[in-house]
Amino acid sequence: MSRSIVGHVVAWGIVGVLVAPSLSAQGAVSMQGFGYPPGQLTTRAASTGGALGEFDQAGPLNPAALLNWGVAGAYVQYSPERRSTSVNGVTSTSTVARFPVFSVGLPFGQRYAFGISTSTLLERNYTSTSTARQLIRTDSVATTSRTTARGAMNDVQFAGARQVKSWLRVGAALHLITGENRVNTVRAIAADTGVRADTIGYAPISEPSSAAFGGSGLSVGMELSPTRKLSVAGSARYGFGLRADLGDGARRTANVPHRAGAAVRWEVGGTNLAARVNWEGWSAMRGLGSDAGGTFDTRESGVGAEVPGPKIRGGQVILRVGARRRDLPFGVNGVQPAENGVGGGIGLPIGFGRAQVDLGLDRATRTLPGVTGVSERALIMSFGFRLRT
Amino acid sequence: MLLVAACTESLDTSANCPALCVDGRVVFRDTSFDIVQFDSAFSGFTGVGERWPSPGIATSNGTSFLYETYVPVISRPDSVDVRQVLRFDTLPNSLSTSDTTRIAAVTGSRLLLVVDTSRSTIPSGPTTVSVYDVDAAAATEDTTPASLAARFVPSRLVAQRTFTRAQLIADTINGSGSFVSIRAFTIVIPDSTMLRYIRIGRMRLGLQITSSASAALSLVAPSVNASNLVPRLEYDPSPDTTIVPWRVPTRYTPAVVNAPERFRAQSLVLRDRTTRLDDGSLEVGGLVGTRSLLRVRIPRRFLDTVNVVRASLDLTQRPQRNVPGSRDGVRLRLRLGIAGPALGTDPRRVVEFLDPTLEGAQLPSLRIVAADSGVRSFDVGDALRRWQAQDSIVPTNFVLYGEGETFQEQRPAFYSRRNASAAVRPRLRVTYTLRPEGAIP
Repeated sequence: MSRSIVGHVVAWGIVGVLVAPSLSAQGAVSMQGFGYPPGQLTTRAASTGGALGEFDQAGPLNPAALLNWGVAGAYVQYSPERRSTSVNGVTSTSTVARFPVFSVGLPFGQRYAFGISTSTLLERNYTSTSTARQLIRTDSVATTSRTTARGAMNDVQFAGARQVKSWLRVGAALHLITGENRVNTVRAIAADTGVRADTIGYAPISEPSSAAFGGSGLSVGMELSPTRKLSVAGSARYGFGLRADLGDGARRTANVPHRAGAAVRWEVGGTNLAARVNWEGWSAMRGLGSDAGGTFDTRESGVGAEVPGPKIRGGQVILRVGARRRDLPFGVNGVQPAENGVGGGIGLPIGFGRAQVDLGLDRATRTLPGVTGVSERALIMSFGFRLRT
Repeated sequence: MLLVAACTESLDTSANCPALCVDGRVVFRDTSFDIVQFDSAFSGFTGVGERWPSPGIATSNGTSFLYETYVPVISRPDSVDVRQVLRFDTLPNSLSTSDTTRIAAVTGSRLLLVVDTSRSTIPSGPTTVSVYDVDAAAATEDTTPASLAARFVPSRLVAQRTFTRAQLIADTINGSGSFVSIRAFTIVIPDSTMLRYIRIGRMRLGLQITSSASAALSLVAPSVNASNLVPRLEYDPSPDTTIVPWRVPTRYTPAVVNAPERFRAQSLVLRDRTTRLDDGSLEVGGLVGTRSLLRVRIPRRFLDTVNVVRASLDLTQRPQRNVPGSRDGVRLRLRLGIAGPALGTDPRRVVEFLDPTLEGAQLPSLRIVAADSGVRSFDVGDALRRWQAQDSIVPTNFVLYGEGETFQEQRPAFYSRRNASAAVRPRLRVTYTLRPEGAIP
């Protein structure tokens, strides 16, 4: 025994369950798993319930829509969200700032257009503190875990579009999935005051971790205009491999989610009426270890309208309204959350039509179907700035 | 207004835990290791009281030193006699550094000593400190304990001072108010005697303490970096008030040892009749200090894969019921030793120096009653976390010593790794969590 190390597990105090791999504490319906998908929608599209998402040249969904730029342009968006989550009557409020879409469009002649964009696929920012009472040897201790998560998974897109016929536009795009999640959990352990078997102190545990994401995909899209006032658009993304390089040197792999969406737009008296459906195969990400609460494919549908408003200094103000319903990809204890939203906004032309400011306001309600006592309400403000040369 | 409000992030969602949080609790695991590869007790520690050259430590001048903070003088009438030698090998014989006129007469001659009362045992009755001339200019070996001990004779008595505990406590050294337990006392030396030694050029003084009860003084050692606390001689070479009295610290001019800082103070153990178990048990403390070394090795794989929540070195105490003060508590402390060039691997050297800043750290102490039995758990969590940060896999050490060493007689004992019964051997017990390897954060 002099040289050998003899160790044996005494098996005390196993009172909690930590399933690896797992994701850290989230504390909000929309913050489960790898986070919340803003939907890759511009302010304009979000204000119409997502219905114009397939037609908006500034958005990354349909590469064929790039031709709608007409001239070179750029777009940037800021969308803070203020949400209130209620659990059994206890409500907490948090605010998160997002910059979900940046894009640049560059027409090349009358028949071609190219674009680069980056958009948030999943956003994961939260801080949560939880406490638990446990037994270590003979000591009753309180463990306080504070988890801070920062990061996002982003979709960088390089796209091109071509006007094939006067009524047909097609496009294709290469998607590179990038981003990082940094999570630090600090667990403080405090023994109860009272009789203890010894005076051995407890030290806090710090568990910093990170994951850097990398993946790719291809997407195609089309926009069909059988009549001057009717347009139909559709797009699909095929996801290739998705990997997560962890801070401890390990690597986990899965696939970038496939996506397919379709939309129709009908112009009536200068008003655009639109509807859209979308499907996204988030379950392809299960291999990353995100399945602790459940990872689900999502369906989304939305309707909206874009109405010409008053003219201000020669520019046309646009009024928007919409509603949508969708699922969220990451569940709570196996239950997939649902999100319903209504919203509206306006588009204000500035600079004699060379730029436009889009303002949007959406009210979202998130629930866990079949689970009572848990709900989340969010107010999503959206500010988009569109510049045209 | 709305935009400004929206810019301020507030990401705390704690109120929704645990319903919407998945890992508020964590699995704690508990493991015992038999980690001690070598253990042994070493005795005879009285505080060297000197700096020792330590070639392994690089400094600007190429040499650094280890030192002790205190040197003891102890008298337990029936069992222990520890004395101290202070060497003043350079006594100025001029009026000042600028006036080379030789000193013709001195006044105010005295030896000033500083004692830490919190580390001393001072009887309420009279205690006498005697100062002897232990110099022998003709001797070529001037550090041999037996030779030095033979010079504590009445004919060599230089001076004495007798005080009670109350008198010593009442006297506070000027300018040392922040050291609440530090007290100074002086021993007046006859001026004529002082002048005689000034003309010789050096003075080597032996200190002996006597009392009807047990007495132990922890004197601030010469090597402490505080000029107002170290032992010193004072004498005034002139009635002229513009000439400042000499304050002379210890200095040793070696005859054969090429170590200029060594032996400015030297402890002499003239008698130690305290009974040791001498059966391989790990004893700790005592008037003539005993320290125990436990050399340990922990699997690197374990350290690399866990978060240490708490850890204890569990020692099984061997009761000492028939020794003086067996019912009184004494405080024992572990020093973590990390193998390095200064202390090396010589076990005696490892236990000799307790400087917490040198290749190690001090760990929490524990109050022990010598008569008790059972398992005593010393907190070593900080040690494991330090080892986790080390790349090295070399064995490291725990040194167990008594904080009352040299002034408290109790010497608790523990069973060693060589004991026939595995149940009472030292062992490490760790509560830990597994690091979440390979898990998505």
